[in-house]
Amino acid sequence: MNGKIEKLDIPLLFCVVVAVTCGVVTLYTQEMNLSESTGKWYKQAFYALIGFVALFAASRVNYQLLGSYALVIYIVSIILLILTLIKGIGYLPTERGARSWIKLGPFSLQTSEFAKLATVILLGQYLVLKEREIKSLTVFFVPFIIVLIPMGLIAIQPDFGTAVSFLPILFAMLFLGGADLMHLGSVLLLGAFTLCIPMYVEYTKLTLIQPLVELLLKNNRSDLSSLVNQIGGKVWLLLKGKTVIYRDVPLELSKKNFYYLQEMADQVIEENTNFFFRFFINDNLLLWLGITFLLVSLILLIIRFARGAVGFRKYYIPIGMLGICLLAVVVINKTVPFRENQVIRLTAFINPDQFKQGAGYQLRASKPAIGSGKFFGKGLGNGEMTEGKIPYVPESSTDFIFASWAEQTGFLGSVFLLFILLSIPLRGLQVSFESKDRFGSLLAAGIVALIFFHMFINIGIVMGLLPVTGLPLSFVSYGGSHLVMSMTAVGIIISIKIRKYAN
Amino acid sequence: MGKRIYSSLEYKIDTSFKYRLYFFSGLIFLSFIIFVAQLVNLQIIHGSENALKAEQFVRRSESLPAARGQIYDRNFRTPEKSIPLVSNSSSLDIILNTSLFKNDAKKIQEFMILFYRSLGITKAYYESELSEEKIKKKLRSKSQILLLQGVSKKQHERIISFDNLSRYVMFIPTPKRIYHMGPALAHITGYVGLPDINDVKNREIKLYQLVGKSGLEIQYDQYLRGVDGFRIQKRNSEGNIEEERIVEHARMGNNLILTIDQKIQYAAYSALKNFRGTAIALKPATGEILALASNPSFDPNILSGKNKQERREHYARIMKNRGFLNLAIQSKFPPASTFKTLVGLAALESEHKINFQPSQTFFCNSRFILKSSLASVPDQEFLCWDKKGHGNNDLIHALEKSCSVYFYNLGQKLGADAILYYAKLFGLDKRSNIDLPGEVEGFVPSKEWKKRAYGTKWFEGDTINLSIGQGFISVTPIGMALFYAALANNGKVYQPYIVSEMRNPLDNSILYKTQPRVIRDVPIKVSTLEVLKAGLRAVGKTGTASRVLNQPDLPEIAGKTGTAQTRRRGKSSSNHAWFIGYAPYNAPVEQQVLVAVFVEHGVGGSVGAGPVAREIFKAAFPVGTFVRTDKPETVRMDEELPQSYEETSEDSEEEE
Repeated sequence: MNGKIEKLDIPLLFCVVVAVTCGVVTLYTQEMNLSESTGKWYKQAFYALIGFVALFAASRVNYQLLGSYALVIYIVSIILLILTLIKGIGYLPTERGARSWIKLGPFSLQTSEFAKLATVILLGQYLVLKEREIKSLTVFFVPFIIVLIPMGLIAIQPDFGTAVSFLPILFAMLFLGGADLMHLGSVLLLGAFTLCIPMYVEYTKLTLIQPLVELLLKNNRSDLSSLVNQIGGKVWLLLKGKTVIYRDVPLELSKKNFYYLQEMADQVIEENTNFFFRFFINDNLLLWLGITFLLVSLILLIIRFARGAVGFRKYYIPIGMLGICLLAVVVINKTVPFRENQVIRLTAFINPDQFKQGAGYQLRASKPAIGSGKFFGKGLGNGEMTEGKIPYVPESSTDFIFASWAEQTGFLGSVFLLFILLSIPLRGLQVSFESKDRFGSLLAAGIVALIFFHMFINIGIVMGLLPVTGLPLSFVSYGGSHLVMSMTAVGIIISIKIRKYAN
Repeated sequence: MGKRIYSSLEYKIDTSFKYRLYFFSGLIFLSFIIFVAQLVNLQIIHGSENALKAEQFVRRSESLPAARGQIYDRNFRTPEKSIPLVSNSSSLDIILNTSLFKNDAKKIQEFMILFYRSLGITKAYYESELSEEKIKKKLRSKSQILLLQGVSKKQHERIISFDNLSRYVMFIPTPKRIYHMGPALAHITGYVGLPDINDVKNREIKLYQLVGKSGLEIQYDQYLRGVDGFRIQKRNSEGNIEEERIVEHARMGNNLILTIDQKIQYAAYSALKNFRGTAIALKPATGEILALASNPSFDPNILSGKNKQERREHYARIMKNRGFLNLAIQSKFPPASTFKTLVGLAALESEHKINFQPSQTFFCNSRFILKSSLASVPDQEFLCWDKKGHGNNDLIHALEKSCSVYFYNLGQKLGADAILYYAKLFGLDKRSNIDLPGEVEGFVPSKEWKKRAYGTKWFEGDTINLSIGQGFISVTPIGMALFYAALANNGKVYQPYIVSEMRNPLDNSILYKTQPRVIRDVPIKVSTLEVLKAGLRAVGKTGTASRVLNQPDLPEIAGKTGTAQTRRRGKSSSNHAWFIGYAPYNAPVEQQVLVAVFVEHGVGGSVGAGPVAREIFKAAFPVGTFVRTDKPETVRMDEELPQSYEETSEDSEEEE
C-alpha cells in the first residue's frame, strides 16, 4: 500500500478523464460556430465535476456496505421511478418524449439512471447469496423479477431504449453469476425467436409491397395497386381477413377482388422470398412442428424420470425450448398486430435508404457523418453534419455524439476513443477478476456489463449495426444523470479495487 | 493477504466464474474489432462515397436560371436603343413564411385554406397541395411552400389589404416573359411554359426551365434558352445560407433580330381584327417577312404567365376558336382567282405548243358550256362571276376583270397537265420552309391521285375547275404568296425567313446572319412576265381591286383578287377572300413589298381582303416614301362578287 493515489487506479481514471474530455470537446465544437451558445459544453463540464466528486465519494465507501443496503437502495430507486410517473413531480423537458426526470431545484434527475445502478447492486447481492442454488429454476427467475419491476416502470414513462438496456445487463450478470447455460440459452432463444422472427417476417412483408404494386400494375389492376400503395403494410392484415381502417372507415373489398389480391400476393411471395420466410409464415407447419418438438421433449423427460438418465437433459431442454419457441412465433403471428412504424423502427438499420423518414433518417444521416470523416477527420469545429442547433444528424449531442466525434476526428480519433472507452469495462473486468470476494467480483462485473452494453448498443446504433433505440454513450454523451451515474459506478469499481487487499 | 480456503464447490464456482469472465472480456475485444471493422468500412472503404452523401445534406447546388434571349424587330440598332418585341421581366410569387407558424403543419394547413378561400380560388386548384403529409415533407426538406405563382394585380391588392394574410406571406419576384405586341405577334413569337415530360426526358431540359411552346420560341428554343449557371450553397441547420459560391454564371440566351416590321405587323393584325384570316407581307427581293399575322390569335403573355387559372381559361378559349392555328402556314385553301395568273403563265410559257397569243380573245357571256361526250350525261355549265358577262377579252383584260369564262376556255385549251406542271414548278405543293414550326404543305392534284382517291379518271370538268383555282387544288397562303413573289422578282423565289440575325446579348456581336437564299429560279420569258405584270397592274388600277387599292395615298399596286368557293357541310356556302399583290409597281424589285391576304368567309376578294391589304400597304409605304408615276384613275370596276359555280369540291376547305 503506497500512497492513496495509487489505490485510485490511475489507468481507469485516465480513461474516464479522457472520455469525458472528448465528450466536452465535442459538445464545444458543435457550438463553436453558433452566434449564441446553448452552453451544453460547460454544463457537461460541470456535471463531470459533480461526477468526479461522486466518483471519489463512491471509492471511499466500502462497497460491502452497498451490499448490505442493496435492497434499501433498490426500493428507493423504485419509489423514485414511481414518483417520476406522477404528473406533478415527474418532469418532461420537451413536449414529447418520456417523463423520465424529477426536478430537484435547478437540476433535473433522470431516475432511471439511478435505478440501473441500484438494480445491478441488488442483482449482485442476490446472486452472491444464492450462488450455490443458482441452478434451481426458482433462483434463476428471481433476478428476472428484480429487473422487470424497474423495466416496466421505465417502459411506461415511456422510455423503451432505457428499459431494454436492462436486459443485456441481466443476462450478463446471470451468466457471470454462474447460471445454468441451458436455462440462460433457453431464455435467450425464446427471446430471440419471439422478437427476431416476427420482425424478419414483417420486414420482408414490407419489402414485398413494391413488387406487389408492380405486379398489379402489370396486370392492369391500377385500382388495386393504388389501394395497396395507400394502405401499405396493412395489406397483409387485410389478406388475413382482418378489417383494416383506411381513412377512418373500415375498408371493404369485394370477394372477387379479395381473392384476386390474395392470388397476386401468393405469386409475389413465391417469386421474391426465400425458404425461411415461407417457412415462418406457414402457421400450420410451425404449429405441428412445435407440438412435435414438445412431445419428443416430453417423452425424453418421462424417460429421464423413469430411468434416471440425467444426460438426457442436454436434449430435452433444447428440443422443448425449440417447440415452445415455434409455438410462440405462431401465437405472436396470430395475435400481436405489429404497427408498421414499429417494424420500420426496428428494422430500418438493415437498409436505411429504404425508409426515408423516422428511424431510417437518423441512420441515413449518421452513417455518412461518420464516413465523411475519412481517415483524419474534418478537424475539430468542422463537423458540418453534426453541429448547430438543429444538426443534420439528430441527437448529435446526446445519443449520436459518437457520429460527431467520428466526423471531426476521422478514423484515427474514432479508434482512439473506442480504445479508451472499451478500456474502462476491460479494466473493470480485471478488478472483478482480482476481487477478494464474490460480491465484489459480481458487482464489478455487473457495473462493467452496465457500462459496456451502453457503449456497445450506442455505438452499434450510430454505426448502423443495431436498431435505433435511445441510449446514451457513457462518459461522452451530453446529460448529467447518466454521466454522474457512470462515474459513480466507476467509483464503486475503484472502491472494490482499493479493498481487494483489505480484509 | 490471507490465502483463501476453497471448498470444492467454491473452487468450482470460482473457476467457472473466471472462465466466464474470460468469455466476457473476449466479448469486449470482439466488439472492439467489429466496431473498428465498421469504421474501416464507413470511413476508409466508403469514405469518399459517404463524404459525397454528407455533402448532399449540407450543400445544395442551386441553379441560376439564365434569362431567355430577347427578340427585336428589323429596326434594331443596339439593345439599349431599341424597343424589344419580347423581353424579360419579373412576376410575383407568394411564398409562405413558415417560421411564423413554428413549422406546425396543422396550422399551416389551416392558413392555406384561409388564404385560398379569401382569394376565391376554387378548391380543385390547391387541394393536392393541402395534405398534411405533403406539408410536413416540405418542412422537413426545408423547401419553400409556394402558395401562388404569377400573382395578378387584383390578388396582390387583396392580399395586402388583409393583414391576416399579408403578415404570413412573402412576395418573391420570378422571371417572366413579356410579349410587347401581345396577340399581334403571337403566331410568330409563340409562347413559353414549363417543360413537359418529353422535354425533360429527351432534351435534357430541367423541370424549372422555361421552354418554347410554339412559334419562334420553340423554333429557336436552344438559342434563346441560354445556359444556366449554378451555385453551391452551404446552409446551416437553420436553413440560412452560410456560404455561397457561384460555380458558373448563367449565360443569357441570344437575342433574335427579326425581319418583322413592328408597324406593318400592327397594321396587318389590326386590319384583320374582325375576320378570321391571315396576312403576309414580304420582300420578294430577299424573302424577308415584314409581317405575318393571323387572326384569331392568342395572348402569349397570359399563356407564358404563371397564373394557372388565367392560363387554363385562356387556353381553353383559344382552343375553342382554333386560335393557335397560324393560318398563313398551317392551313390550305383553294387559291381561286389568284390561280388564274398561274394558268395565264402556263399558257404563255407554252404558247407555241397550244398556238396561243396573249392577244387572243375569248368571248364571255357569263357562262361556259362543257359539251358532254356521252349522250346520257347532260352538258355541264360553268358560270362567270359577273352575270352580265365580260364580252371579248384578251389575257390582260381577263386578269383585270378576273373573267372566269376566259380562263375556262384557256384551261380547256391548255389541258390540266401544263397547269399542274407549273403549279408544282412554283412549289405550291411544297412547304416554304419558313423558320416557324408546324408548316403544312399545299396540295396540287394529279391524274394519278384522282384515280387513286376517287377511282375515276381526270375529267375535263376537273380541268375547267382547276383553271380558276377551284376543285381539288388547295394551297397555303404563304405558298401562293411565293408564287407572286416569283412574278415580281422575274422567276426568282427567295427563301422566306423571319429571323435575320442572332446576336450575342453581351457585346451585341452578330453570331449568325441569315443570307437571302434563292430556293427556286423558274425561267420565265420576258414577254410572259410583261403581259402578266400588265394584267396584275390593271387589276389594281382599273380592275377588280381598283375600288379599294387605287388611291392617291398608296403606291401603285399590282395584284390579283380571288374569291374561293367553299361548301361547308350543313352550312350555306360562303366565300374566302384572297388578295395578293405587290407595290410600288414601277419601283425596282428591291423596294417592292408583296402582300398576301386571305380572309375566311370574306365575301369577296376586294371587299374582304382588299382593305386589309390596303392597310398593310399604307403602313409599309407611308405618304412620301414613294412616288406615283401615273395618275390615280377614277374609272373603277365593280367588285368581284360571289356567284355559284356549277360544282365545287366538298372539302375545299382543308385545314390542319
